[in-house]
Amino acid sequence: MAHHHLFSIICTGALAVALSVFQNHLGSGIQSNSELRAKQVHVKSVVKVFLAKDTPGYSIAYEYDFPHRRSVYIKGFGTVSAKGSFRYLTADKQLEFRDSPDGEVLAIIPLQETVIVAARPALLSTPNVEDFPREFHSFIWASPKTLQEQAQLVVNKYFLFAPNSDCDKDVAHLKTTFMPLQLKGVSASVTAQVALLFSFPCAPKTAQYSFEVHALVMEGRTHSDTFRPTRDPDILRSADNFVQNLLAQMNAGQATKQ
Amino acid sequence: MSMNQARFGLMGIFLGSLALQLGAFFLISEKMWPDDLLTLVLKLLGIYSVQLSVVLGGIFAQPKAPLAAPPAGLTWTALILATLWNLLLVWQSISFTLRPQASLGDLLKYLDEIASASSFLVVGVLAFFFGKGTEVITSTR
Repeated sequence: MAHHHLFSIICTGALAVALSVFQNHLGSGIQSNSELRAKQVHVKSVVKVFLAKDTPGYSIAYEYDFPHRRSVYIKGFGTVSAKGSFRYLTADKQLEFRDSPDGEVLAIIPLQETVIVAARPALLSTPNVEDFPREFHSFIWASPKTLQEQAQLVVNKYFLFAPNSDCDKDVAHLKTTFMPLQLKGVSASVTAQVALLFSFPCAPKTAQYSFEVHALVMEGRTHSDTFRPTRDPDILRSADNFVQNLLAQMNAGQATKQ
Repeated sequence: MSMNQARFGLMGIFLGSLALQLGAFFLISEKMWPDDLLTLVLKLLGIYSVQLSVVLGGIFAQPKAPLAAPPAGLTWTALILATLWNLLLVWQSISFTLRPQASLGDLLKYLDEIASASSFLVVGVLAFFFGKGTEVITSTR
């Protein structure tokens, strides 16, 4: 009986030691994983905004680096280089990096506001995809850089943009906020703004593929609050010139017009 | 100052201010969408309709016999209060038209809220000069 009791004590002790070792090992594993993530993804800013009247979201900026990889998949943004930095609008509450759209999760970073806006957050709305006209400019993309990376480099000079890589009929979209247009040959009381929609294949099968740029041009008045779709040829020409200029910047060795 | 002079003075202030604002809005009509201009004009007419209906009603319903002259101090106070109420509206309307870019929504909100909140300035004045406060001088021969 005494032997049996002693044996139970030894077994319990051994089990406790084993559990403790396992827990320590697990703890250090989690710690090293979070350290790794911290080195891989650096969230520079997260500012709360409204993406529509009652749709909160974030304007985020971050950089990331996943060594020993050629590309990563960022949820809501698409497949991009393994190292880069982005700034865009998102409704997501976390950044999720995977090795492919359905692959292993590399890192998940919860988005926490870095700047608390005291007043009501700014409204940075983007038009719905259905609001864009059917007419488009068509271009060929032929670059080692992804379209999203190059577009954000150029587009961010003028707009904020909201990516949406959720495929709709194998097409991903990247839409921008509105930007005021510089008008020529138009009355000073007329204002205009433009938003762009980039449509491109979700999973291009070749290195070269075509993509479309739709421009939604709206006309306004200096003393009115609303903008309305326009057919004014001078405004449309200004918008067309703007798009051509923007695409020329993206084009710089990256794309060729069809 | 006679009652008639005071009455026409008050009417002039209200009608002049309304005309000034309408003229300013029509002058910049090309800077607004047509339906926005209509909204603005209707808003202004709506604000002035209460005051002007009392003023015009009082004048047209005026008895033929001469009216008793109001105390001089009272007349001047009434004219100042009416001017003050109108200036609150005219100032913002003219400022709206002179700005290179302005928000129509803000102006409409301003007109709506200020006109009703400051109506105490003119309600008593109009009631006295165009309502029961007027007395007909009875001739005693």
